[in-house]
Amino acid sequence: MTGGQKTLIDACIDEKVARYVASDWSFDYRGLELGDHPSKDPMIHINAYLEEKENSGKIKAVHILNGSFMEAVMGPFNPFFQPKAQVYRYWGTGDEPMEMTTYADAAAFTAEIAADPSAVGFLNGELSFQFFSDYR
Amino acid sequence: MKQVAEVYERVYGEKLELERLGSMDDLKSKMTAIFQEVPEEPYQWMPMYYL
Repeated sequence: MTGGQKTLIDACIDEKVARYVASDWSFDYRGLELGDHPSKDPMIHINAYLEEKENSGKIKAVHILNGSFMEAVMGPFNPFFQPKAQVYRYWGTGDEPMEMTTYADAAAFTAEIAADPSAVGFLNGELSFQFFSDYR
Repeated sequence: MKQVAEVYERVYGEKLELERLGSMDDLKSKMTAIFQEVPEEPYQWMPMYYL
């Protein structure tokens, strides 16, 4: 995840590619320390590597922060959401925001971002869950 | 989570019971402990890191 991406970033720089879309498609992890979220440690390293390359004008980084994938956190990946048993187990107050995007929407956003040369930096958006039920 | 439950009930006509398991600090302690115990089994700990 880390070594492979660095190799890809270097190859993009060698080929004068203008923008590199980092392998994020996740929540905003920039406030995390190494070890806080083991799955995000590689992206903390990649973000630092991209910042270094960006600061020397070699490439621009794009970070797509769509939160988690809805099909995952509202599906079997999340054992605490059990619609068949009609129970949702949680921690906290229950009012904490949960960022999520569907696979299809994340792909559509990515395609739009890839086609827009001005789309750089950390990119995310936000809608309430009520929006989706009203749309049904 | 509360908003998810409200929308679920509205859309599917079925009540989703909310069961609180503890505070966010409790979650952090649990997920960290499981990661340290079985780091080689990501499906045991990874979902909790996304809650």
